Amino acid sequence: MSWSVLVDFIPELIVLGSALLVLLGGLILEPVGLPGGEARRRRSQEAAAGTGQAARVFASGVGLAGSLASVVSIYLQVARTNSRLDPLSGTFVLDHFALFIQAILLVFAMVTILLGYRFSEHFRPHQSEFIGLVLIATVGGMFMASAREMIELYVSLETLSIALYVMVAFNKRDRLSSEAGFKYLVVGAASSAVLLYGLAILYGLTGRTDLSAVERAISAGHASSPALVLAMIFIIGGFSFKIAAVPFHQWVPDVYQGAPTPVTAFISVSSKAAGYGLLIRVLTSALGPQRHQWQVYLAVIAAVTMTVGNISALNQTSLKRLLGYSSIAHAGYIVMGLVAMAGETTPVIGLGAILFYILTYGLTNLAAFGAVQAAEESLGSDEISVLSGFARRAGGVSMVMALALLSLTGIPPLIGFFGKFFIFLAAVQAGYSWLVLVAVANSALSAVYYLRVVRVLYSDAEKVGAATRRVPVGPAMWTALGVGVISILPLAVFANGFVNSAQQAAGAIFSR
Amino acid sequence: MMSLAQAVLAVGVNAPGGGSIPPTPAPSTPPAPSGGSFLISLVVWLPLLGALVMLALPNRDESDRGRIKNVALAFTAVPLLISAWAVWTTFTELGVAFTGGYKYEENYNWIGLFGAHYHVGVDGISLPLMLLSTILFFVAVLASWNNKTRVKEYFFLILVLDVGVTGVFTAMDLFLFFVFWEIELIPMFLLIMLWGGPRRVYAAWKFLLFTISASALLLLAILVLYFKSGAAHTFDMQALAGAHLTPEVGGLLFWLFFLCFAIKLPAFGFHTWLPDAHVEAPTAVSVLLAGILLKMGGYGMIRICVGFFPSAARYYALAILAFAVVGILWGGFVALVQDDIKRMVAYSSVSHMGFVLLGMSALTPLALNGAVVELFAHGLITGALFLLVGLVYDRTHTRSIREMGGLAQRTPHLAVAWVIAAFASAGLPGFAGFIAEFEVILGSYQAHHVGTFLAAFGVLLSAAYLLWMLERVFFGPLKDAWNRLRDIGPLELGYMVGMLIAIFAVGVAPKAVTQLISYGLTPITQKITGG
Repeated sequence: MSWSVLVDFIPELIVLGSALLVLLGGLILEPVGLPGGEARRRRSQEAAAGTGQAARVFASGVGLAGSLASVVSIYLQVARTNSRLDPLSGTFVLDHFALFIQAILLVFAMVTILLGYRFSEHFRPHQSEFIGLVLIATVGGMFMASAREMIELYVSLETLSIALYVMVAFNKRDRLSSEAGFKYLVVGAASSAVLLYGLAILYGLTGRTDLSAVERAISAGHASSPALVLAMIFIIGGFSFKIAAVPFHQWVPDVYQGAPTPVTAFISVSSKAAGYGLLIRVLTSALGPQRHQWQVYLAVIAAVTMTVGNISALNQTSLKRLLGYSSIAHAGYIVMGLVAMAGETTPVIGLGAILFYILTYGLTNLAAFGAVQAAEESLGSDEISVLSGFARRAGGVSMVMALALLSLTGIPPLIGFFGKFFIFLAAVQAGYSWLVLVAVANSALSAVYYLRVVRVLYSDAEKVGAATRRVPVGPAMWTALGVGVISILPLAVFANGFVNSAQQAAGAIFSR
Repeated sequence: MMSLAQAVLAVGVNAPGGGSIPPTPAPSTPPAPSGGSFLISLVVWLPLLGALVMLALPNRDESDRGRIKNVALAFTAVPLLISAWAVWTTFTELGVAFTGGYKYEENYNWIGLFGAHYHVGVDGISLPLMLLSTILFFVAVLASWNNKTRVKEYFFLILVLDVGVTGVFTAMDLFLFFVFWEIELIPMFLLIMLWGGPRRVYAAWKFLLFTISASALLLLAILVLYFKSGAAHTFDMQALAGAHLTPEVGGLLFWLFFLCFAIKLPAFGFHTWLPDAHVEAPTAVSVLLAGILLKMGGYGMIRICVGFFPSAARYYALAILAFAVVGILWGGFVALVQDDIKRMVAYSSVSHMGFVLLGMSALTPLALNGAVVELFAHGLITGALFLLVGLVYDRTHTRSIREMGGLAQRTPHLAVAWVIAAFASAGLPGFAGFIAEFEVILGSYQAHHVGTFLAAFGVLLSAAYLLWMLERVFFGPLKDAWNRLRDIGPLELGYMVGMLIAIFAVGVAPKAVTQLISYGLTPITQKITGG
């Protein structure tokens, strides 16, 4: 192995480097109170108040710049690799599919950093660690997108997960946050074990850890069928945790509600995107020969997931919980895309639909959580009822929230509709009209709870009194919300380009 | 009776007895899209520009609100002028330069992967409806001039609604059609929910649930049609109209589309959202709801259900006839017993929309022509009626017919307007409604003797409930409570006179309208007669 192999990993290295820089900067700019009495701690806190600003600016700046540089290097990577690279003896694969997911993850990370810019005040004196964790989780996700070997796959998955466990419990003085972190850890560990068990069976059957070698072995008929089915169910089950699909979905509402809002936003998009990236890689390589089996299994999962998510969302009172259930419902729609991906004639269009959906759903969801965060900061609660008449005082934030929720409903001409339509189209073409029927009914049902929030936002009765604080929306937050609004509305008009690049990325995984 | 019919109709639609349609242009291949025209885009998108301008305006005091209203007025007036100009030019070209097909086409690629285009244009069916929608949105802005609550949001939503509705009538790509179709949902829901009457929450949710079910059906139908349309999947509506489908698929799609449009129209059995939504919505929104949103359903029935699946439409004609006749009679009888004047007008819509279905079930050129004229005429007439209901309510603060009486003595102008609009709605010759219903009845009689005979009683019923209502509200002894009522002012008088003149104009000179529509219907009627 020579150093030149590192060239292939420049995007990841840039992000990792910025994470380390952020952590190092935090040590200098944001000293933690040393042990030694109350007076000393207070003095160091006062000092921290002065330096906190500097630490935050430094960490966010480095985080944004690093992510941006990484996106640029991915772009160069795309230009450099006509088809794909297989660095480190093929344990990683850098095709357009992986690069597409990585670019999405970096965009999500940047928006999250912007969302968290003001919020991370609450994390003082650990603001830099927060940004550092966002970056480390993103590196994990980026490796997940390109891993093609069981051990690499598992290590990168855990890199992402462990960073997220810490982030969920980051507000350690908040009981809900700690509880959410613990729940997330327990369910995450259990699902990891299930996934490992599935991978172990695959290894046991084929004697290989490389996913394409596993595929070849299975295709050659070296594997007995019942054990293979078991492995398939365990692997998909393990990933269900990451993508918030039934049966590993129960953590979602609690964690969404308890975690600090920027973290919730990050989990709802990045963890999902990376999870889908890896799941798709496994499904198309190692489990590719089994696709007729997992197609049926996933079709059922999709129908159950979206129905469970939507029905549970109907009578939620907390906005973050509601978005949690909505996230489960949307996981169901994306799994529909996986079903289409297994079709004889529809693998590329199905996968393209998934990629487009992940991108657009992510940006919409980030906008929604940004608006929720602003409202929560101002009103001191994320209950839907306290939002009553919020539009009068915070017109801009309310409009972003309304647009994001309507886009999640799938109302044209907002971007969410295009994502859904694309998935439905692929599923009908794959012959799963019944699933589309279920999904369409679910979409109609989901309008009820999304619109309930919109109605409350714009309702007449203003419940909040004079005690409410001004809505704290700084330039960073406005930038994040602006990215969301631009992606929700005007991009729909120019959706063609995004659809095409998603198709191209999807095509990459099937061309050998 | 027959000679009268000929006197009125021979001009536009030849020989009612024979059922042949006027100058049949040769089936020409659709002309290459003229990318140069941007007229339709102006009509569709100017309101959105207005909405965005409005967002940028402040909303602090009365003068700010005045500015917002002026923006709304300007951005509905210009589309009205453009579409009026388009209609006028087309009228002058009828039979000469314009002999069917689409005008002002614009066609651009949108999403290449599944062949969605931004493809708009107008033909003889959509041109009158585009004009109707621009008229009604302009009037709706005028009718909301005294609205004081959340002016900015209100006009913003009205303008967004405008984009969706005009888009539906001008879209030539089914994907685009669906996008426009859906735009209407949210603004209308919020308009009812936030500016409605006492039972607005119930009414708005009911409206939403019905409408969104219709949308779900529509989406499903469009997806199925897309994949069954032949080897080259397409959303192009002209291509889809010529697609060869097996009878089973055609029948299934016909019913999917029919259910969706039946909810919107609404047909009997799917209409229960309508009285609630209409009654609770504020006046201008009721005008839009009844005047133009219902027409989206009627337009879909003619353009898609009949236009795409003529053989299924013929096969199921009796079922549609049943919907039509029951709707006409039932709507009329229920209107007869209403005490709430707005509810009465709302049920009259159910009855009148039955005539659209009747025309659709008969499938003769004359009846179809009447159905489209009915869409246009009913849009104007029922719009006028809802405006008048609003004007009465503004003065009396009640809609109960029983509590009113003798209002004509204090509000003579209002009473005259009411009488004229009621006559128009009752189908009195000389008004637009007469032309429409007469064409439908005459055209349908050839196909369904008994059904049409029964449906004709609907006209009698409408005369009954309207005249009885007029008597109880405006005539008879003046009740003390209404002694101090004031008549309508110049603004109200202005837009009422405008609407009534339009209704009257179509009524006395229907030739241009019927001929224009018959050109639009030519491809459909050719498919029907051709098999």
